[in-house]
Amino acid sequence: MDRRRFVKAVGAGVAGLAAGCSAEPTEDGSTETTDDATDSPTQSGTAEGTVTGTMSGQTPVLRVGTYSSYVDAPSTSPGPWLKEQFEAEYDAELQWFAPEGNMDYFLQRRQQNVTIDTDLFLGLTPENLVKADRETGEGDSLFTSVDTGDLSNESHVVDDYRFDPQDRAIPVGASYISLVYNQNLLDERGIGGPETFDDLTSEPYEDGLLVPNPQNSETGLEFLFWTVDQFGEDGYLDYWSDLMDNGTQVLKDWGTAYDAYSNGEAPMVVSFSTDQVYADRYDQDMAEHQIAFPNGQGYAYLEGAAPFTGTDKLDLATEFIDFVLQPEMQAEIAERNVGLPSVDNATLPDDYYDFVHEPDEIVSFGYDELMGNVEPWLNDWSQQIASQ
Amino acid sequence: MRLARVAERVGAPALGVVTLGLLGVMFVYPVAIVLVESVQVPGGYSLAPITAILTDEFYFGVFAQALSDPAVLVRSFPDYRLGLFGFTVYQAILSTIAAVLLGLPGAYVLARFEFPGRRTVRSLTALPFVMPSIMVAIGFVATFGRNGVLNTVLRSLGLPTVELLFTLKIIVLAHAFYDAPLIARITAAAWEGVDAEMTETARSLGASPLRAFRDVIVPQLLPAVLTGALLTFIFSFMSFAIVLALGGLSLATVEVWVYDRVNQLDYQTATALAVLEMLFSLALTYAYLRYEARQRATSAARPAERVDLFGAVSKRRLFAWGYAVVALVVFVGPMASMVLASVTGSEGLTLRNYQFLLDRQADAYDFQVKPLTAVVNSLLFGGGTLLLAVPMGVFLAVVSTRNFRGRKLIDTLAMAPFAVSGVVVGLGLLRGFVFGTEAFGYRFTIAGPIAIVAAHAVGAYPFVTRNVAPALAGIDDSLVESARSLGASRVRVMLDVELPLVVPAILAGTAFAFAISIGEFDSTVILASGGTSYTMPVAIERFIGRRLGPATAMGVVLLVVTGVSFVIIDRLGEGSGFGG
Repeated sequence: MDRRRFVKAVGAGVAGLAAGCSAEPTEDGSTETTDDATDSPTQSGTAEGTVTGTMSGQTPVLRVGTYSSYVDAPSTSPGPWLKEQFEAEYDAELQWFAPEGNMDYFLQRRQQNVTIDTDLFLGLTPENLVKADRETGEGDSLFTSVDTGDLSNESHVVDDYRFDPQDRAIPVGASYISLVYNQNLLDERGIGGPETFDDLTSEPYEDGLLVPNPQNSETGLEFLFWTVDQFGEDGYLDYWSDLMDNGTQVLKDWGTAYDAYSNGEAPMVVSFSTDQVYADRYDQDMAEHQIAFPNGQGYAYLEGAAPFTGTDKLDLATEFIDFVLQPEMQAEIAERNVGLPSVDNATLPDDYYDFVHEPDEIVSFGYDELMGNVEPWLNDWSQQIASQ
Repeated sequence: MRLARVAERVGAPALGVVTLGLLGVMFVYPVAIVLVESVQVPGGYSLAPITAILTDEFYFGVFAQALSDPAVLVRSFPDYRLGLFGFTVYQAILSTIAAVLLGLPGAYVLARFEFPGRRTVRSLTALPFVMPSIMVAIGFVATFGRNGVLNTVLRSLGLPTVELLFTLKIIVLAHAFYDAPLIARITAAAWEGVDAEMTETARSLGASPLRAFRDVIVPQLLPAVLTGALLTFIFSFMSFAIVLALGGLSLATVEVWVYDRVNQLDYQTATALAVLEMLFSLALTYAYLRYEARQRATSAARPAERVDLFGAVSKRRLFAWGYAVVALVVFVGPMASMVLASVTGSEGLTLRNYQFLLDRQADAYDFQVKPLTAVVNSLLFGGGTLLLAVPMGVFLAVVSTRNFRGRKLIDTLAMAPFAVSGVVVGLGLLRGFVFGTEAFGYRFTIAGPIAIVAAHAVGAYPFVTRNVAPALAGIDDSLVESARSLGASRVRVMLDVELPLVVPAILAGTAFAFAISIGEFDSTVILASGGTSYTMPVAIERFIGRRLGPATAMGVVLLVVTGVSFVIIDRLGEGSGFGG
């Protein structure tokens, strides 16, 4: 366990290439974290010259991977608050780690046979899980199952939100993908918000819709799934052909699409049904932040927490998930992340639902529907849109 | 004195070793470990993945069709299907033309006119280069969008509005926004070097002004213009973020597909595409360098006098003023829109976004991004990059002006950092350094500041080389020979005679190298992941949310900090005794 660390210059003749370089013994092709997972091989403190050592006899450290806006958004993010709450309750230190690439970062470590060095991932979507499983192959997994018996509030998880039959990913948050539209712009056309998918391909809504690119954006990808659900595997491409003919634009990512929408480039954008929370917070014109659920549906955007295979802190990771699932935590996280709780017994302030809209019907593809399908769906779609 | 001799003697070889070592470690190695996947098949190596792309209509359109059915070239003429590669080349050609058209008048104004603040304007020409693509996208939507500044002005003047967004036009314009200033700067440096006497001689021999321009000036500017055009073409050819943000997926380029294939973990297709991109860019570079080698412009003994921009109306002044208006719209517009966005909110004028930056600085947790740290990091990395990239770039420029077999090949390969897909470089840095490399039972990892500086230097030195090499080649051989005959060593001649003559070129290269470092995002965000080595572009990306205010405020900080830096770099360079 006494893992020694060396800081040495790498690259003969390259003067001064010392800081930030490290070398540590490898354990014969082992792909799993075999000792303290917080002994990060690369990042921790390289800039300051401090190195996280092993933690024998000290407060255990739980290293949680997530996406960056969960811990560092310009508005509010639940990360800092959650860390304080967890550390107050448990004798443990919570260390956030939000690498570029989110889950893919860890999957790439796994592909390259490098230790994961992180205990669990928070913010895992169903398509993330499917992608990881596709890559690791049968009988192996990047993530490990949680004993749901240890999760006191697990029975309250909304059934529609469960997406992993193997209980590796436990749903810890949700929101709905919907259309957000600008009624002021639609007034100029003399129409109201779109009510059906067919509206989007009709003449009054021409040049009306902005979609984040499903290749780079979970929001866009789940909207694509939604159209597959609506029109079937054999019909979604025809629908998209009509959408594109009607002047739909597929832009780089959610941020780009939303920016163009905010500038009035188009009256509709694929975004989230929580949009009015922000509009209210920043005193924006509500007419520019209307929510539409085509065909009365919304696609559930789900986020799970899943421990990495090979963590030596599975118990602590389970305790963390248990903690996050508590009703009061769920309520507070939902508010801070501007989303919805994943459990049905969290109590949010009455006026919260004034601005968070919910569809009549929830659409969402679970693990079994997505397994083996995401790649062909997306590839066929991409080639159709980009063919020149 | 003897020590100086020793330093002279080992200096050049040492610089060579450092340059090659850094290139090997920070570029060749990480790129090679990724690109090898393009030819790796179960049980060995094969070119099949690459030929599969070459014969796929989606990628090569009519060219792929013609492989099996040559008649298609006749049948479908002229309505060819371009394929992803064809379209990418097409938009890069348009972008290059636009950048040259926008850049050349700029060079003319900068080189031939005198006006207050001219040197500052010249220093700031590198500014578009530091703008992260996300900021350019925001600035362009705010300027050229349906409700952008341009259309608002047109509407208030009762003029018809323009629909630019989500079209090829806006992509071409955005590429020109990035690259026209580069062309202007390189060409202006060459223009300032045109000897007035030659033009005067031509005129005295009866040549019309136009004729004198065509026969005397144009040949001397051509290498610089073509250098700029080549760089513009390669950058536009490899463009990704701008294309997707302003044009949309319907106008996808090859690099968009490289990124997508990496996202889908289909490394084979991704790397095969990247190899084809690289071969194409390098072939083009090689062809250009063959041309450049045949050009031998001589630099000025006496530059022509500048014309005062202010004065009686004349054709050339009208032209200069007309250009200033265009430049204001295209270059200043998007940046000004960003400044405007940073000080406006739903309540009207506000400093709230800057207050946000101050609050973040004061309250951010360790795992959050602090604005000031980002500023300091950016400047440190930018400075570090210059310390590495300028000597490296000048060294390679010197090497490229020596005559030896295979010179052009080395010269071409020196441009490789521009020719390799940024996505591939990022992937290589992630695997090779962040994840580390196993050797001798140890796993070596490199991350943080040093790795970032090295990665920036690798991405920046080709600018220095491409600026300095043509200038060095243009030095009159008799100068060097006479210095040699007076007993000066070759290194002495280089340091005392040749380099001082090319200071404007070195400065231009330095400014762009600095700009590359400040604006770099892809590699930085990978090498800084999870640590505290984040830079201003990373902070901007982090501050993007439902409202753009905080991100645009950080964008303004980026512009101001780098703008001031550019002016300081240029003044220091000019103050070094060589004159600018």
